[in-house]
Amino acid sequence: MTKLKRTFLITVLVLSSLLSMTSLAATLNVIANASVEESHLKLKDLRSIYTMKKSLWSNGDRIAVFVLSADNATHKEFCRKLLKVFPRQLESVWYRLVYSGTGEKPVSVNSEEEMIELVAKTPGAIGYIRSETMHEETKVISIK
Amino acid sequence: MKKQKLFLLSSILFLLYSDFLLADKSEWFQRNNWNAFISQTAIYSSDYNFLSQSDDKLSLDLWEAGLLVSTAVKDKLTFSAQLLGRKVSDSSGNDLRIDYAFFSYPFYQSMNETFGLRLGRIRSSYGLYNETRDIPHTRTGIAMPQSIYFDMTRNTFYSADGIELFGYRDFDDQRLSAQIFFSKPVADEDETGEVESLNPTNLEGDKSLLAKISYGSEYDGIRTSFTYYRPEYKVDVSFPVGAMTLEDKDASFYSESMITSLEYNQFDWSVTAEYLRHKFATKIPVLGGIPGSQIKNKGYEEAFYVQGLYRFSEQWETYLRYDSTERHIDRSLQDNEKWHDINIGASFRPNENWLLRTEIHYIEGLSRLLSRDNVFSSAQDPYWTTAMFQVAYKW
Repeated sequence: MTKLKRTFLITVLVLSSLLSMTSLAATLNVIANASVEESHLKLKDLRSIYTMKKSLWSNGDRIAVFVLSADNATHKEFCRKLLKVFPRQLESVWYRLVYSGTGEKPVSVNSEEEMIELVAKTPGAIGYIRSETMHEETKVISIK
Repeated sequence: MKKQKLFLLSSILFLLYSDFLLADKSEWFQRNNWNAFISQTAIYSSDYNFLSQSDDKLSLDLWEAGLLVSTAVKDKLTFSAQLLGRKVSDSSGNDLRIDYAFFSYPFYQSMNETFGLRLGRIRSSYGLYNETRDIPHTRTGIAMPQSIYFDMTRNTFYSADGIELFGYRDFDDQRLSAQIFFSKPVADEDETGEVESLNPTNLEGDKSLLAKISYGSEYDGIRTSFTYYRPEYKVDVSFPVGAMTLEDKDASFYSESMITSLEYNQFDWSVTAEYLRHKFATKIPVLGGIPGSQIKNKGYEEAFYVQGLYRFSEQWETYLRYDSTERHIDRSLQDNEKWHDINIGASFRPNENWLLRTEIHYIEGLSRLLSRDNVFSSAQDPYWTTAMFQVAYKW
């Protein structure tokens, strides 16, 4: 293999992996009910919301947290790529709250369609989807 | 005192009920959650009965089951309760009890701060893991580190009726929290003989204070806490003095624990260390006339464990732990005054409901064995092993 060919091959590989990462990031959206005033969140705030620490939005409304089931591919991707945690670690945090009686776990839904429907009709709700389909009562929250 | 408590409880229930009758019913009992778990453990021990009648045989004594309910009674007022069943050996009987049942109300809440109170039967938030020690899915192994979370007096020490004030402030995803808990411990008569060695015939919770401060994140970076816990109990004691047996029905026993905890979590590994300085003493007024002898069985012990955990994948993880307890005394330690346990275990979670675990312990010492399950003698072997396998399911 000539040096030129090798350089070309490496460039293609790097570009394609970058493109696939961009594509993953672009398709996984954090969504919220239209009543939520925030249009972006820091990653740390998102982590606080999904570990059930942060329970109120800035306007004082209660945050209603929705998740997909633990074996759902989008949930695994949300945990590992966005929150940077194993789904099981997140579950442990929720179950420590639940079984000590000091907190609640998020509401689990079975599909992205159900996620969109519930986030749309629940004031203060937050969730995540991979699909591009949106409901008029939901909005996308950007994560910084 | 009982009349005062009954009056207070009746007043709260009356206020809640009258509000319930007048209010819009849709505001009441929202966000109801039911959860449950069950586990069965098989244990084989080489020389002693450990958490079971497992001396030189396979025992299926140890089982645990829990049923939990929580509800938002109205607005920010919540109620949580857990019924817990647990059997550690034949001598302990089937232990079914209300582990906790309390109201919680945050009287001040903002985006980053909360201050509130809890009222009722509350599980002591001793160390990093006491609040959830009985749920297999939230533990690292089958047996908790016995140095800090001993099972000999689990019920008597770790659940109490009282009022807890709590507050926390969030700094991004790090939380600074503090709590103070005034209570009356819930004594368990099965554990009377474990409390101390003066043949107590009665054990009743008297008063207790717990104060805790903690900081950090539960799964990313450092988590640290300091706990002060001092439960006191009334005991009836009898013990030999020369040829006589002396009895005192006004004796009291206290235990004072200070636990410093530190944990570091990363994506696929965690390291945890907790250190306990534990003082205890029995005050016996009948000995008041004899200088220096009013207090019996006084002493303190130091205990700690260090644990490393590695997550291979979402299903598999393993841990290695060294667990140590030594009583401080001006002579060489007897076997029942120390506990050095090196243990290793692995767990497999095929899905979010099922959990399979196994672990093996190599132990020197007997100080964390249940005295009601073992007969000790001076000729016993202080070195022994135990192996465990557990299957657990949660809903």
